[in-house]
Amino acid sequence: MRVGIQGQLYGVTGSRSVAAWLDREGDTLRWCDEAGHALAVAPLDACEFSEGPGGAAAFVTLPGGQRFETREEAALLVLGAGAAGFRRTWLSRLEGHGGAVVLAVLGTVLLLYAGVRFAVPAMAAEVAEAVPPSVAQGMDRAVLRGFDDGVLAPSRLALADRERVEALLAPLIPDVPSHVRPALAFRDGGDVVGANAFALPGGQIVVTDAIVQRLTDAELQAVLAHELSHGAARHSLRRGLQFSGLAVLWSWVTGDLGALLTILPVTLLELAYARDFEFEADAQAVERLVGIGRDPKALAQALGRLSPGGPEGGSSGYLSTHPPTAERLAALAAAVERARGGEGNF
Amino acid sequence: MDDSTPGAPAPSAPQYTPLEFTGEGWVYFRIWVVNVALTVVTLGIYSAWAKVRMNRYFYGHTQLAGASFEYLAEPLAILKGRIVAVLALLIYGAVTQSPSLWALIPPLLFLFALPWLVNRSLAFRLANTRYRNVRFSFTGAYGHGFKVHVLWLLAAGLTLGTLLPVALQRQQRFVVEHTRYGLSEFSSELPGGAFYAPALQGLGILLVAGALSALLPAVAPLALALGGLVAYAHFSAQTLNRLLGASQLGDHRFDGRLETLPWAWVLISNAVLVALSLGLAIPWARIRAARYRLSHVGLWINGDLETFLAAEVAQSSALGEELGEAFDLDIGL
Repeated sequence: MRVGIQGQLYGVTGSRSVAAWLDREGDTLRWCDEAGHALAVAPLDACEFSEGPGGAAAFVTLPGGQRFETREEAALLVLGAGAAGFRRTWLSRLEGHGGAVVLAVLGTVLLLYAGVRFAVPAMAAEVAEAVPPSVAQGMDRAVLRGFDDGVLAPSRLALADRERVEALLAPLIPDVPSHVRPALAFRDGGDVVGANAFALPGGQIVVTDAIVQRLTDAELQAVLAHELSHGAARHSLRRGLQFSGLAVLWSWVTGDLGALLTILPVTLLELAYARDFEFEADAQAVERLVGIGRDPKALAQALGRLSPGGPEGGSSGYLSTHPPTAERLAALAAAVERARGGEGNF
Repeated sequence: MDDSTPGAPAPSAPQYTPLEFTGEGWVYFRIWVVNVALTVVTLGIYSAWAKVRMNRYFYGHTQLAGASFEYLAEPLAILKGRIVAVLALLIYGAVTQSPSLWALIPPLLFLFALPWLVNRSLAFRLANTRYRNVRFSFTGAYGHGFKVHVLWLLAAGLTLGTLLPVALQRQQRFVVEHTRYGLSEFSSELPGGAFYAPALQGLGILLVAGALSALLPAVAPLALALGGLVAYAHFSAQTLNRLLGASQLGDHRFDGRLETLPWAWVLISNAVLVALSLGLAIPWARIRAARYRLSHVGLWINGDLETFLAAEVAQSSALGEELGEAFDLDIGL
């Protein structure tokens, strides 16, 4: 006679199993074989129920270690009703509740957005501020050594040219926080780096021979003000920290998906942060230039001259560390306008 | 038909029995999104519980011959391992960033820790896997692990990769031969050169993709990405097939029947789906990958699976596995 819930009953000592049917008599659970002979009996309260998440097989563990596996979880819960262990966990009730799932989707999207938009940048700025200057400058040396082994060669600029550039930087320095050391490093960037300047984590500014030769003094000073602003705001340190923060957030979503899928969205978001930093450094450069009585429009001119396709050129879109030149020029014009307005109030 | 006595339990031929995977996208989506929400709200602490929940879903929906697998790990054990792993990763990052000779110490330490990490990771995972009320376990020792994971890898490096297929063969055979189901040991007769053909074929696919992108620069990124994925799919499918085909548990032989192009299609379409959905399709991607992989793996059951004896399995900490994940090791088969 076959009554009750169908499943497999496993012994304690090995993988041997018997087809079994489970039924309840009062406070006792009873397992029978196909012919109706008793296989096992146990008090309901001494048996342990484990649910099968999302429709997987459920198990009952008997006091002696025997185990019963069944696909009929719903029937099992009805059978064991009233016993302490025989109920679904709060988690599986949550997963089964449509409203809770919708809430989870919306809440997750909202919280991740808040994390990306506000929490990660704010925490990165906080931590970057706490990095001791000596550590940041140590990083500068390491990064520069890496570049020197690769794409950068010793500068071929004459001493007079270097002194001229140093003199352009000097008036900008008093305005910089004391922990930033905006030393200049001259390098030949060859064809790969071209006419370029960049700021390292500790504030050191690398300028290539080509940029010194290509720009006028006023434009060069504007570029130095831009790079100085990167250093003063510790942008490259913050970029590294923000990348780590994003990677942590993304790992909460994926758990353990393949490396390609893990790194792509993080990289795209990090580049968006990087473009924000460019706008920020442009705006601060304008303020610095106005502060020492120079014309801030030189930065826009430098940008137009360095951008390979003129103001309309420059790589654009989501794969770039820098915003399109046209957008930067528009933002710059606005910043210049604001700076002028500020002057007018004095 | 044959000469066995009718009516008597005949020594029948082995029966091919594939693994069966019954997970479904929508059901797993609900589990996944609740996991993610609770992980975000608890600032990552819940991730240990989320991992257990996910594994219990995937193990529970994997069946062989009508019986399910079970995942038994305790979330608290995983959380402890995870905390130590994150601290180790931070220290590793900080020290390797420092511009001095100190930066060389963590990678060196890591090299010596690697065999231990792999062994502990497999021990934790297998000890927490149960099938037919019998647990698995892992018995690999440090010395042997050091030989296959460090020395063979160094040999592969010194020979400019020529010996890499042998190194991988040694590693995978080591894993299989030290896995136990109850008291029964797995065995493997995988020959030393088994992975050369898949490796060379994979290399060939990469070369074709490279040549194509050189000829048609317009499609170069697409050709390289697809070529890379197909080469990876080919290598991973064919090596798994060869490993399983050469492996046995008692009288039962394993069998892997993954095919390159269908498996590559699963990987490629998954990548596109996840990217286009901004991550929301991750549950479906996981279910599809698991369904393809598992349903193309099976066991030639010789008689039945009733006679395996259970063993006392020592419970191990989750530290090895969590460290392995933090350092992005791909441990396991």
